[in-house]
Amino acid sequence: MAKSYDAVIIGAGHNGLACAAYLGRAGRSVLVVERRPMVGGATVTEEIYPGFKYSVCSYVVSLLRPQVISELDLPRHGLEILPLDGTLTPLPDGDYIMRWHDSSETRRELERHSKADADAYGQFGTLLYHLAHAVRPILGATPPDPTSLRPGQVKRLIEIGRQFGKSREHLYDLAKLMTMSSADFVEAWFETEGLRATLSASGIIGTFLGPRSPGSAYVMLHHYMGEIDGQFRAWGFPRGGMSGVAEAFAGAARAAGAEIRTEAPVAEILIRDGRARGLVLEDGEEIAARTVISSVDPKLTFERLTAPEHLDADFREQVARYKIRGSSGKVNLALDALPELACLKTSKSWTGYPPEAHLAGGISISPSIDYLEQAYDDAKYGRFSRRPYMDIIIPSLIDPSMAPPGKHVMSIFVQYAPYQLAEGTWEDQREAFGDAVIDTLAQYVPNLKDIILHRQVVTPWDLEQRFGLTQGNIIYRELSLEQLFFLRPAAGWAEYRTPIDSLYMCGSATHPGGGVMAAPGRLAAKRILADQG
Amino acid sequence: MTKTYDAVIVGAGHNGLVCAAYLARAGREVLVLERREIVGGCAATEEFAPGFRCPATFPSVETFDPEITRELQLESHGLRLLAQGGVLVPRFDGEALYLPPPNGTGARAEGIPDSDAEALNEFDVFLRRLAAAFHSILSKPLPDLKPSGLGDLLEILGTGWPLRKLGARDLRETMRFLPMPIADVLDERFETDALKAAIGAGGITGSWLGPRSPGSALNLLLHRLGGCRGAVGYPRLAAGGSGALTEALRKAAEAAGATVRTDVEVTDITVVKGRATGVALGSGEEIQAAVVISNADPRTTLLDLVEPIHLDPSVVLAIRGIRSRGSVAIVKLALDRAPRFSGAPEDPAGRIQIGAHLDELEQAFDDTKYGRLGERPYLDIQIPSIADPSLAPDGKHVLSAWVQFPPYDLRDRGWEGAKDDLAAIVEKRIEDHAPGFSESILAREVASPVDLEERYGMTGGCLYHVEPALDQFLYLRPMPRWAGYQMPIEGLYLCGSGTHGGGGLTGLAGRNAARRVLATK
Ligand SMILES: Cc1cc2nc3c(=O)[nH]c(=O)nc-3n(C[C@H](O)[C@H](O)[C@H](O)COP(=O)(O)OP(=O)(O)OC[C@H]3O[C@@H](n4cnc5c(N)ncnc54)[C@H](O)[C@@H]3O)c2cc1C
Ligand SMILES: Cc1cc2nc3c(=O)[nH]c(=O)nc-3n(C[C@H](O)[C@H](O)[C@H](O)COP(=O)(O)OP(=O)(O)OC[C@H]3O[C@@H](n4cnc5c(N)ncnc54)[C@H](O)[C@@H]3O)c2cc1C
Repeated sequence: MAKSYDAVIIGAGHNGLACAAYLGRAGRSVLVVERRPMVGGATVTEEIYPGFKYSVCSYVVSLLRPQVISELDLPRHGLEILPLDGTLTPLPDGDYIMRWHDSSETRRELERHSKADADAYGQFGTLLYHLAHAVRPILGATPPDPTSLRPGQVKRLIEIGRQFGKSREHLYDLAKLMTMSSADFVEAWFETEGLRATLSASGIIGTFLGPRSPGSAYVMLHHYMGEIDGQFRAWGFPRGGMSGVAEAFAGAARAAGAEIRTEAPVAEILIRDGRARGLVLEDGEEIAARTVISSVDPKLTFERLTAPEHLDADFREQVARYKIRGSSGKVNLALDALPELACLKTSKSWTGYPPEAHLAGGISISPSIDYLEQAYDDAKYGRFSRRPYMDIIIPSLIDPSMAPPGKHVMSIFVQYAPYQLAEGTWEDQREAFGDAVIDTLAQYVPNLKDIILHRQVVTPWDLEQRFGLTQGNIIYRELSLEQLFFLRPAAGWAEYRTPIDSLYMCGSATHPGGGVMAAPGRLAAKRILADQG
Repeated sequence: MTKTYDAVIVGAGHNGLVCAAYLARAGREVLVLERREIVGGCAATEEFAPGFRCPATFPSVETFDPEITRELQLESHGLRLLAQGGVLVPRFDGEALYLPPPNGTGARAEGIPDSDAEALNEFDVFLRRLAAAFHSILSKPLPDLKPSGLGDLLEILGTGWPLRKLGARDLRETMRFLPMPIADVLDERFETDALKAAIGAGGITGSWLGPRSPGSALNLLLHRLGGCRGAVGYPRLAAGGSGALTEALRKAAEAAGATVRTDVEVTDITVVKGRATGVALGSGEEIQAAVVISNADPRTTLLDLVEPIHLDPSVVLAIRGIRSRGSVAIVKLALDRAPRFSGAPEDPAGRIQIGAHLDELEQAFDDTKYGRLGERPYLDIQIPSIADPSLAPDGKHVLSAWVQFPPYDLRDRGWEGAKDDLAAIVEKRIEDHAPGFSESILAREVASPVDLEERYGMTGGCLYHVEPALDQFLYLRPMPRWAGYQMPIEGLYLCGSGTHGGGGLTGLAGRNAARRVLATK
């Protein structure tokens, strides 16, 4: 048999690559095997329609840990993040709400809708900032098991308690925020409906929750977290699309000596005497390794890649009921011209910015909390939202290389698209779903249908088939209260370790969770290095 | 001339009476003041049509804490509990799921597969253990969160101890269970839709939550604490209705030396130099007391009865942040004869739950979210006159329907005209499952959430004072920083459903508050 590696990693998503880079830098021999022809997983750019580059899945970065960027020297490997400025919420009455990077501009704009809201906005941001700081120590560390009485666990629990204690004044706010709904949270702060809805929408992204579901306020904080490390509201778009992130991680991994093989789908994890020994690829090739690390989700890892006899029944049951219902889809468009938003034409521009500048950030279709909640109601009963929530960016306005001159690409993140449809299959519903998205958006963008050159509709089913995301869940798990912190991915097995010796997890399902943040990959590598002395 | 009581209690709801009884038994001189002409608040038994009497809201009293019944010797004060009843869930196909009461007759649920019967046993055991653990946490005031010394720290650990005792596996299950939507819990364990609905209904009762809302599992647990009961909400009536319980409480309090006055409205809580010194009545009378304990909801107590100048603006903000959205209406019917539900055993002396699918319960909740009067609310029905004929004239019956979810805030229209519509909706829904029932109606009374607010003085018509929800539980109930009964004004306490231990007819909040007051002196 060929060479044996210190570590072999399943999946070349950004977490698998980050883990590889950290292990490689510690002197380990590492191989990453990836099923697809390219690296990146859900952080990928593909040219599906000639000349137009789609960030097929994820489309913005903000959660990406600055620590990882500097430790792995990612800018040297080509990472360049271009800032996105502002969020535009078009309203059904023809008006809009614009929040700019520049807080005084935002204030002027909000005052147009409500003086009280303009006043509250800054305080609201400050509160979230403090709360995010209170949660961050937990996010950065390996989670302890509160049900264990082992001294190490108790010590870590006490440390976390102390961290919370330091911000005692925020303790109650935090406890409330952890358990309330994003709608209740923002309604206590603001009166402008479109503002309330757009803020509460960050509490539903990637979840099977509505803005009125308890627990969604925490998700809001989770998405806000990315903003506290770097520059205020420093979310951005990688040059070249999301592959820009993946390529930088791949470069860092290779520079650290790791090998990456694409088109090498794993069929099974080799386990002997309760210990992982390597991998078998689908073509039968065996790869030996001292440590096996899976970056794919726990269902895929333990239900498909691990033979059941290696796992006890209790663990298998926990994996079986691990919730991972996908709820989002994506529509990517190639456009012949710049979309024209009705609200920017009819309402007077109050700021010095030209209409086009309003489109260089995010565009949120979230006119009211009821609108979002109704979109969720559809999903509860197994239908895609007839009037969905959309989070849109036009990458070609930020990085012109994404489309031919004068033309554009549009990335539309759509919720809700439940993986489990009550009727029909996603294969025969795919275009109907695409139509619902376009029809809804055309109400705000009258020229939309005339300028579409090509559209790609990505359903949760497609995410599962093409990217291996079980049930099409975009962040590998549901950000639901019972699956937060301690109980991930299965109770008792939250520390990147698994019940099988030498088999580790490093993907989005592990602490601190989904998004393009690379923290799971980094922390898993640290855990492995510590375990192996 | 003026006499000073040790404690004056505003409101003679069941918690106010429990609190009074415990304080009086400890030798305190206690005065209870009730606005209405009868005691019991929303647990009183009221005549709503000549000869027809019915409990105001909760017909049965199985949630009331048996420990308190024992300690206050309520049976010697006239409380007589009747046999447990079963639970009937009529389905749309004309059949019904019937869960007979577990009274040793060996009868078991019919029409559910063996796997579900087994799952029911398992879930029952799990929930009982959980209820026992939480009962011991909810039946004590919470320790202060700022551990100032070793003693406090030990107390905090002690409070959590009942949970630790569950063992690692059950503790994990508990931590997973509490924040979950009850629908997810049940989907994991059961197949039969009507059985899931039968259990899941306990997760939405009295709340602003659907079965798919996180936290509805906690709400189910809270409804099972008294007597540490299991999965199914088998009802248990008191002879004379829930009012018989509150009458017994009044007698127990009086026997211990407390004074109970009805028909007196407290209009002000007097505060002197930041300290509550007594109350002022509508008549102009003033009463002095060392402590004032309010059985009214937190908002009414602090924003209506206390002059705003006595409160810090941040406290006012926190009070305003309390969610108390009423989502329950009560329909009482006087009937010529008992209804016959399709697929039911003879005389279902128990609870009839209309809503045979979790989706149906969820859709009922959707209506309240958008402020609509839904066509298919969830109904929790009891016909207490079957077990207790004294509630109605000979051969006749009273039916009480707890209707969940007509919203307090009925959008685009007021409640006035809507009450007839609600009655029609409820009656149609019963008629669907009990053909011919409508013809037996002799009289009706509809109480909308707005009526409940006016009649019983509870903000928003929220029967639990403070909505049961994860973020209004334990240290966050009724509001952050003030979960210890003692309110931001010295000498002012709360003892009602909106406090720790409260929510529903349990008596725990009243007893906890009494213990806190006694410990403070
Ligand atoms: C539609 C969508 C939009 C999103 N938008 C954003 C966003 O805007 N911002 C953000 O921060 N996050 C976003 N996310 C989430 C984010 O993309 C993911 O959380 C993150 O990319 C996951 O990275 P990962 O490395 O953990 O896993 P992945 O990127 O999923 O990598 C796993 C890799 O394993 C490979 N694989 C699977 N099975 C096998 C096998 N048997 N053998 C070998 N290889 C295998 C897969 O092909 C894949 O490359 C979005 C996700 C989706 C789907
Ligand atoms: C999987 C996935 C992950 C994503 N992750 C992120 C993410 O991590 N971050 C992200 O922004 N978008 C992310 N997005 C995009 C996101 O959906 C929205 O497009 C975008 O965040 C919309 O803005 P917002 O609602 O978060 O409000 P933002 O405008 O981003 O919120 C800014 C916050 O700053 C506060 N603030 C504003 N002004 C001030 C001031 N003067 N002083 C103090 N505070 C102030 C505001 O109160 C507000 O809470 C993600 C999308 C997907 C699909």
